[in-house]
This record gives sequence, structure tokens and C-alpha cells, in this order.
Amino acid sequence: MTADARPPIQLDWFLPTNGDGRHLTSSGLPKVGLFQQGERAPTLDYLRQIVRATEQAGFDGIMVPTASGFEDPWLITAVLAQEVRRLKFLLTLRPGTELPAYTAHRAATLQLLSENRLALHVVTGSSRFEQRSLGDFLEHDERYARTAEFLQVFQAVWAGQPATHPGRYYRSGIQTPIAPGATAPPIYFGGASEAAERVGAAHGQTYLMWCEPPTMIAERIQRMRDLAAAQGRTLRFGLRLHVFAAATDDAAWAHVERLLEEIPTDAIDQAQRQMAAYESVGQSRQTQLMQGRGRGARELEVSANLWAGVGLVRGGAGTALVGSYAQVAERIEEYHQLGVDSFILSGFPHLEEAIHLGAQLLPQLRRIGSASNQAERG
Amino acid sequence: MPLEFSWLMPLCTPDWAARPGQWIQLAQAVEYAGLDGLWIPGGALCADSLGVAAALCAHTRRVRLSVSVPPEVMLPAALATTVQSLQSISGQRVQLHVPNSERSAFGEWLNRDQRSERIGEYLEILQQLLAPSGAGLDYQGRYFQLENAGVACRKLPAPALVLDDSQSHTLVAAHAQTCLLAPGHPQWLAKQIQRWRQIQPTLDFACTFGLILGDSEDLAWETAATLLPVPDLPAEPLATLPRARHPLRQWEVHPNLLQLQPGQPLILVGTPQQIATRLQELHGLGLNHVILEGGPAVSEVLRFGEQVAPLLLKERP
Repeated sequence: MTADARPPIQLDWFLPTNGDGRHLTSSGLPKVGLFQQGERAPTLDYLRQIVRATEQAGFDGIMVPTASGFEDPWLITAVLAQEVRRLKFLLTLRPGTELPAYTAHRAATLQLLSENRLALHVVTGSSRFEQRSLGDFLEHDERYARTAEFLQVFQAVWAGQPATHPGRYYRSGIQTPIAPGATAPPIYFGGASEAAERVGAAHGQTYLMWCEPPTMIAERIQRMRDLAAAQGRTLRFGLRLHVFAAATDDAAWAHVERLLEEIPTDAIDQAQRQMAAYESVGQSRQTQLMQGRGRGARELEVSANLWAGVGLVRGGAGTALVGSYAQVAERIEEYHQLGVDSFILSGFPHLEEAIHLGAQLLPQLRRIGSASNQAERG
Repeated sequence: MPLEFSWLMPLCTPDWAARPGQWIQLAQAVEYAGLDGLWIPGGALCADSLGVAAALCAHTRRVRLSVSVPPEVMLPAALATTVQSLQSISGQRVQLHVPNSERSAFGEWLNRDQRSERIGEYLEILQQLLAPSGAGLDYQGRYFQLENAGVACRKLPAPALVLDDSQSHTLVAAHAQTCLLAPGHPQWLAKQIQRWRQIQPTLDFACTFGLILGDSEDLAWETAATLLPVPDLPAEPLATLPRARHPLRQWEVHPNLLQLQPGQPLILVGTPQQIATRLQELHGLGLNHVILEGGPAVSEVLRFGEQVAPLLLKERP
């Protein structure tokens, strides 16, 4: 298989189900007791506009997140899949709070309701305190062991395999047939620790990463390819990142400078303390990107056009591509050349930016990969 | 309080997977016909009730959504946040039914006492998280533990909770606003209601009934004969009312109420006037909420809304 035979680049948007706004702290994790609230509540009337704008802008799909204080991703997906006909939904779930046979069962119902537009994004957990507030007392590495078993049972139920599963975490019961007409959702897998990498290589189809400089991403892709190859598997790769793009790079940087200026220093310190409490390797990798750097906007440019400033105050994905439309497209093309096929983008606020980037950036991104394909075909 | 009506969504029929478009159509008919709510059953052999309820939020505005969620499928704190989210998405139209699952098909085994103990802990957590005090909840149970749960819960009205009559008295009295009675003869229902009222005087009662309407009494029974698998005639008449113009009326256990097998829902069979009269009788026995099922569903829903409901309104004082 040549590089030209790669499928087209996949471009997804993000649904801010715990609120949205113009500021760095308006969406994302976690706002409880620490961050200012998004100035737009995640009402159905707002979220349905984002989903519609995302489809009309030409994105392929939309990521639906989950965390404490977010609207339930299963419900939001079920209701918003009714609003659009083409857009795919990448639903984030945490295996620790429900039984895998039930997850398979509800995914099948959602496939029927959405005409098979569902994909699942498996995130094993957040901080210890958030897991415990949900009733999950397993520690980090054991949570990943449970995720592996969860995905085994999930796939077995979907494949209609014999129902008894005398596992360490799950004992499945009577067979629960999957609805005919529902296709198995693709599995995206997130997690940057060693434990996560092992489980992701064995059970994921697309391995998702928060965006890091190209050299670091290349290293992770290579490691994951090796781990998967050892199991006779191949993986697809995806990146989750924010975008601040404008007609000129000066305009884009001026915008993020303004966003940074409005944030009080003590809010940054508070946010950093809270993020340090996560036991997330991915989170600490995001935080380390900005360590030893000043707090000026350009000082946080950790590789060409890659800005670590979002992570000063926002948990989760903390990096953004900042620059002109052409620069951002070039950087995304570089990641594509490293092996990344799927990009999940955010911009603040998500409604206006879906429209803006759909008009200005997406046409350039759609040319990625296709130019060489056309050259090949003559 | 007037008698309330919900329509049972056909989500547990063998061919449910072929029907998502019909669910939406039926839900819209129920809202249009003026019924009070949709009853959304849940279980391993049904469509996922939470997913269907959310999808129907996109297509309805007013009807109450009574959602059945088997408690073994997810942790109570997870269900609490999901239910809050459904309250928010639906504009606070949710009523939650936690069924007494005899044995889980989703993969979990406990004996009867353990199940009872477990559901007790489950409901206690659920109730506390659905009416959040603002402070974090710590919980140390045999089956569930929590640390600082519910701090992200929102100030939304807790949905009314429905529990089955097979659940323990203590649990129903402590947690339920409504008790879902197993199908039975009106006399049996009346006894059950009296018994439960002695335990918990403010409890409401719901029960499921089939519905077969006809322009005339004979037509209704003929329709019933075409819709139902008629058992072989017994050697001796079963009916308490020997007026069997139609052989099916052997199983008419009470005027206009057909029951083919013990444990199955009773089916209301008759003219709109007869059915209105019977519903008045059931209301008089203390029933607050009737869950109706029938097919072909959309036409029966509209017929009920247009021909039966006005008669009940007229009789309201």
C-alpha cells in the first residue's frame, strides 16, 4: 500500500457540552469551583446550532466529550443526531461506570437512531477524585486493565459470541443480541501512560492524542505502531487540538495575546494546581510543554505555530495551532505526513468558529493528501 | 387529580430495531392526541430507554417521559448525572422507573436478599444526588462507595420515582412517588391499593392495560379476536359474566376487561363509552396513572384522544 492510498483526512469539530464562550476558560475541564463559567450555557438550543453549523461547514464529525458537569454524551448524541443527516458523532465514554454489555446495547440503539453515524471514544478515567465521586475506586493502572476487559466484552457482545465471560471485572450473563441493522462503532482510544498505550494498541482502532510538537508525536506514533504490530494489529492516529487562525499570523497572535491578558495570574496558578491533581500522563505532558517558559503569548509557542497557552488555564487539550490559515494548514499537513489521519478541532466560541474555520480553513485542509493523489492519477 | 394516561412505546417487541422512525411518529401522535406521557420501557431485549427518550426530546415538547432504567447497568452516581441531564434536555419532563429486575441479562448475579440490599443502597444514593444539597456526598455501603459525589449536580427538580409493587414495602415507602402495580383484576388492584395506602398514604398507583376500541361492542371484540392469539376454548367457561356473544368473551374477567393469561396486562375492549366508564371505575378504585398499549398504535392513540378522553373530561366534576 502506498502513501497515496490513504483515505482522505478526517476533520471533526468539538461540542462544548459544559458551556461555551470566547475565553480560554469558557469550555473544557473542569470548571467546578475553579473556572469562570462559560458565558453560554450548554442548552439544547445552543448545542443544536453548533451541530448544524458543523455539518454545514463541511466537517466530517463532532466529538462529544464527557466529564463531571458536562451534559450526558449519550443523551446529547441521541437528541442532536436528529438535527443533522450526515455528521458523525464521536461519543466519549468512561468504561468504569457501566457494564460493557449495556454499553454495546445502547450503542446499537444509537446506531439505529443515527443511521450508523456513531463512533466511540474510550477514555479510561480522569482524576482519582472524579472517579471516586462516581463510585469508581480503582487506581490508575487497574482502571486500564478493566478497560481492556471492558472492550473485550463489548466486542464479544457485538460479535454475538457466547455470552459467558468469567472475567476479573465483569461476568456477563444471558446473551443480549445486538439490533440487526446497527453496525459496530469504530473505537477511538485516548490515554498517554504506558498502561494506556498497551491497552490502546491491543483494543483501539484510532489512537487519539492531544497535540504536541511534531517530533514528540512522531515518537509516540512509532511506539504505538510497534506495540500494535507486536499484536498483529495496525492503528490509525488522531489529534485533538484548538485552532486560532486568521487572515494573517499577526492577527492570529494578537488574538491569543488578548485572550491571555484577560486571565488573572492567580487563575493560572489555581488551574495548574488543579491539573496537577489529575493522574493523567497526557495532562502532565501538556503541562510540561510550557514549563520553564515565560507567560508571554509567543514564549509559549513550543514548535512552529503550536501554542501551549490554552493549557495554562484549561484542562484537557491544552495546545492550539495559531497562525494564518495557510500556516495552520501547513502544520496540519505535516502531522498528516507523520501518520495522523484524524483531526478534532476546537475554536472559541464553537458556533462562530465552526462557521469561520469552515469557510476559511477547511477548503485548504481538504486539499491535504488529495493533491498527491491527483498527481499520482495524472 | 384526574386520571393520567401514558402510551407504552413498543420498544420491547421482537422487531423493535426496525422501528426508529415509527417511535418518533408514535410519540408525536401521543402528544398531538393530548395524552399525558410516553412510557419508555427498558431492558436487555428492548431498545435503550435513555437513548430513545433523548431522541424523542427532539420531536416532542410537552409529554412526560417515563423512562425505565434497570439499575444494574450503571453506577447510581452515573445514573443520577444522566437523569439530571435528561431533565435538562427535556425541559424537566422526566419520571424515572427503576424496575425490579429478577435477573440481569446485562451480566451480574446476586441472590434475592442481596439484590434487595443493593437496590436499597442504589436508591438511597440516587435520591440524594437527584436532590443535591450542594455538599459532596460520601457513602460507604456494602455495594457502593462514593467520595465527594454530586458537587457538579445542578439545581433541577428531582424526577418522580416509580417502583414496582414487587419491591419491598420499606423501599417503596421511602423512595417512590408512584407504585407500578402488576396487572390484575380490578378487585385485586383495589385491595393492593388499600394495602399500600396503609403503608404510605400519599403513594400514587400506575398499571398497564391493553386497549382495543370498536365502533360497536361486537366490532371491538371481533377486532380483539383478529389481534390476539385466541387460546383453545376451555372445556368449562371461565368467564364470570356469562354473556359470551363472542367466544373470546370467555376470558372477559370483568366487564370490558379481557385477560388471556394470568400476569399479562388486562385489555380494555369495547366502545369509547364503555372504555371511558371502565377507566372511571379504575380511577375510583384509586388508580392514578394508566399505561396504555395497543396496535396499530398511531390510529389507536388518535382514537383514544378524540373519542375516549373527551368522555372522561365530561365526567370530571
